[in-house]
Amino acid sequence: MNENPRQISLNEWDDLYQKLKKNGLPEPSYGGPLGRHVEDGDFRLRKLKFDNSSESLRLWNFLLTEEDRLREAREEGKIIVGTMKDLGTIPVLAYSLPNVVAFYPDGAWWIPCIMELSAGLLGIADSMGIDESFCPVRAMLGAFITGAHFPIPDYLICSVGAVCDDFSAIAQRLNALGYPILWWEIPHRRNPDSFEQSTTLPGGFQAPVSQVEFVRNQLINIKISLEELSGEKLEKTHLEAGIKAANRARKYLDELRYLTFTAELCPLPALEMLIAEMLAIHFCSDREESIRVLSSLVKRVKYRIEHNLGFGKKEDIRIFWVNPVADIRVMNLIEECGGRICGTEYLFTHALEEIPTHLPPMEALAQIALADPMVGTARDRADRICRDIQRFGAETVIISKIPGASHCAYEGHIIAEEVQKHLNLPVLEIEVPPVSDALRPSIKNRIQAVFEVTQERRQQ
Amino acid sequence: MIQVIYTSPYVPAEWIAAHGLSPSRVGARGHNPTDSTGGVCSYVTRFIQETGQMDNSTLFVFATECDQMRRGSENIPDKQRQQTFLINIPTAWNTPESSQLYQTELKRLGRFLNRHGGDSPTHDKLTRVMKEYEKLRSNLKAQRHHVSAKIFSEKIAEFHKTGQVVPDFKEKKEDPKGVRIALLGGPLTSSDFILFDEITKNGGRIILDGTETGERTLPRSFDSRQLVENPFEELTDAYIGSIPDAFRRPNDRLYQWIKSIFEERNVEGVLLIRRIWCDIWHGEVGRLREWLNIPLLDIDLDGNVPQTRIQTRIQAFMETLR
Repeated sequence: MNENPRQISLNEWDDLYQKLKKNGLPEPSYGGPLGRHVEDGDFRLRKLKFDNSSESLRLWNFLLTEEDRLREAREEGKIIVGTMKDLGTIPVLAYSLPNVVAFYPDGAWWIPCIMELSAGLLGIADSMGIDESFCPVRAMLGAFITGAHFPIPDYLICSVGAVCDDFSAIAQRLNALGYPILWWEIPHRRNPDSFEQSTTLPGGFQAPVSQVEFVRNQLINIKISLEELSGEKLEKTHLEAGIKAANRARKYLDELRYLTFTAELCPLPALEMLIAEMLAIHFCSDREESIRVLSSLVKRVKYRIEHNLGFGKKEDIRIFWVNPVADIRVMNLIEECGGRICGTEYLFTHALEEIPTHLPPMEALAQIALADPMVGTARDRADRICRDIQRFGAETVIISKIPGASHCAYEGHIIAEEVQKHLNLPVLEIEVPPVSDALRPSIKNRIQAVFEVTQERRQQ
Repeated sequence: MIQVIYTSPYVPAEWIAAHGLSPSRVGARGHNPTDSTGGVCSYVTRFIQETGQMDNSTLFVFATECDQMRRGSENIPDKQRQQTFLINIPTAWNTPESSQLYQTELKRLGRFLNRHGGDSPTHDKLTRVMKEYEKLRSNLKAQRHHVSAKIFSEKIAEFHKTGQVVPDFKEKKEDPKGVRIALLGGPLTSSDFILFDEITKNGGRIILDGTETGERTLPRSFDSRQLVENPFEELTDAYIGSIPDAFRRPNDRLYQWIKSIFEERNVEGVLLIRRIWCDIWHGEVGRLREWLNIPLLDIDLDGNVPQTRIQTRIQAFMETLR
C-alpha cells in the first residue's frame, strides 16, 4: 500500500495491472484488467480517470461484472427479483432469503453512458413512445426488450405513489408489455399533525406512526410474495441477519463517506465514491462481496489519511453534490477543476442509514423506506442536505439536474433557496445528459465559475 | 361560505359540501406560452399562479396523483400555505390497504376542513348531500343527449366548479354524420375548449370527452342501500374504486373503460390531449397506439391553444379519417 494516489487513464490502469499482477496482486474471481470491459462495449471507460489503488480496481471490476453474477445466479437456480424505484429497502428483504438475488433494473439508466449510446437502448425506448422528455431511466425499457444487459428477472416489485412520474410511467409501459409487476404504495411522507403519534425516522425526518404502519403492511405483502416465490419462509431471525448484513455495508459506507469527505486531503476521488455509494442499494448483486469491497476501500482511505496522501490540494473547493449524474465522466471534472466532494445526496440517503435494530424488523424497514428523501417534500430534502453540508463542511453546492426527471423541475430551486437561506452558500445547477461530451466545455466553465465565487468568498 | 379549490377528480365534492364548505373543482383558466418551461407542467404552474390570486379565506387541496402536482403544492405562495392541504391519493389499487389509505386521507381532509370552519358531517347529513349530488350528476349526464359535446363538457366543468347543473335543451347538436372522435388525456383548461371547434370545423364530432375534466372522471352512481347504511364507505368506493385514470398502477381499468365506452359509442378516432412534461399521459401514448385499432393523434399542449401547429395537425388527422 505504498503507491501515491493518482488519477490514471484506462491504458495506464492496464499497464499498472500487469505490474501489480506480476507482484502477486490477490484478486477475486471477477478480477482482471479494466480494459477488458471495453471489449464488452463499456466504451466510456476509455474517457474516464480512475483512482490507481488496487481497491478501486476491485470496486470497478465488481461493478462491471454484475451481469455475469446475475447470470451465474440464474444458472445456480436462484430466483432473480427486479426491485424497482425504492432504492435500497426491498433488496434487504430479498437477500434475507438464501435462494433470492435482487437487483435494480433502474440501474440500466447508466448503460447509455457506459456504452456511449452504442447499445441503442434509448432508441428502443423512443420507438415505444418513451422519448427524451423522460429521464434516462427509460433505457431500462430497451434493456428489457433486448435482454442483453441483465437476465430478465423472475419477478418485479415496484414502488409507486410518491415517486417520480417518469419511472412510474415507464414501469407501467413495461408491465403492459407483459412483465408482471407487484406494485406497492409508498405514500407521500407528510409532517405529523399535532395530535398524531409521530416518529423520527433514520436520517432525521419526522413521520406519523400511521404512515409507518401503512408501509409496514405494504412490506409484509411483499415478504409474503417473496416467500411464495422462493418456497421458503422468511423467518424473523433470517430477516434480522439480513438487516445486520445490510447494516455492515451501510456502516462501512458511512465510515468511508465521513473519512473521505472530512479528510484534509481528499483520499478517494468523486467518481469512485459515487460507485461505492451505489453498492448500498442492492449490493451489486453480491451482499457479502460488496461488504468486502467497501471494507477494503475504507482500509485504503485510512492508509492514505494516515500517510497524508490524497488528491489535489488542501485548498480544493469543498463541494456538496446533489443527484447522481447521468454521465459519470462529469465526476472527473470535479478534481479537474480544483474541487473535491465533501458530501453527496444521490437520491438514496435512506439506503445509507443504518436500519434500526431495536425495532421489529418489518417496522424498521418501513421506517427506512419512508426515510427516502424523494417521498417527502423538497424542503425536507433540502433540510437534510443542509445538515449534511454542516456535518461534512462543504462550502458550495452543485445540483445536477437529471434530464426529463419530473422531480427535478421543482426541487432544484427549492434546494438552492433553502441552502442559501440557511447556510448562505453558492449553489450551481447543471443538467447532465447520458453522454455529455458536447456540453463538457460549458459544464466545466460553470463549475469553474462557481469555484471562483467560492474562492472569493473565502477571501472575504 | 368558504370555498375549497381543487383540481383532482379524487377529491369528492360531497365530502367538502357535507362539512358545510363550498367545493369548487376547477380547471386552470388557461396558460401562457412560458408556463411549461423548465420541465414543469403548464397546468400545474397555472394552477399555482391562480391560487395566489384567491382571497385569504379560500382553501386549496392538492393531490398526489402526479409528481408535478405533489411537488407543486410546495410552491404555493407563503400567505396561502396554511390554507393548503395535500391529499395522498393511492396509486396502487389492488390491495385493501389502498382503500383504507384513501379513507384515512379523506378523514384527515375532514379535520383540515374543520380547522378552517367546517363541521364533521353526521351520517344522515353525508347521505343527504350524496343524494343531492347524485341527482345533480344524473341530470348532468342526461344533458349529453341534448347538447353539443363542447357544451356538455363545459357543463361538466361548470358542475365541478359550482355544483350547479343548468338544463339546456335548445342548443343545436353537431352534424350526426361527422367522424366520431373521442378525447382522452389530462385536464383541459378553459382555453382548450376551442379544440372542440377545431374538430367540428374539420368534419368531426366529439362523442366522448375522456379527459380528466370530462365525463371519464364522474364517479359511478351510488348504491342506494349503501348510501343509507354506509355512506362514507360508499363515497370512497365510488371515487377511488370507479374513476379510471392513467396514473393508477396497474392502470388496466382505464383500458377496460376505454374498450367498453369506445365500443358503446363507436369511436372512430382519438385525440390524446396532454401537457408537455406530463409523463403520466405521455407514457400511455405508445401503448394506446399499439392497443387501439383506430387512429390516435397525440396533442401536446403548452402555450396558447390552438396554435397553428395543433390546428394543422387536427386538420391533417381529420382528413385521414374522412
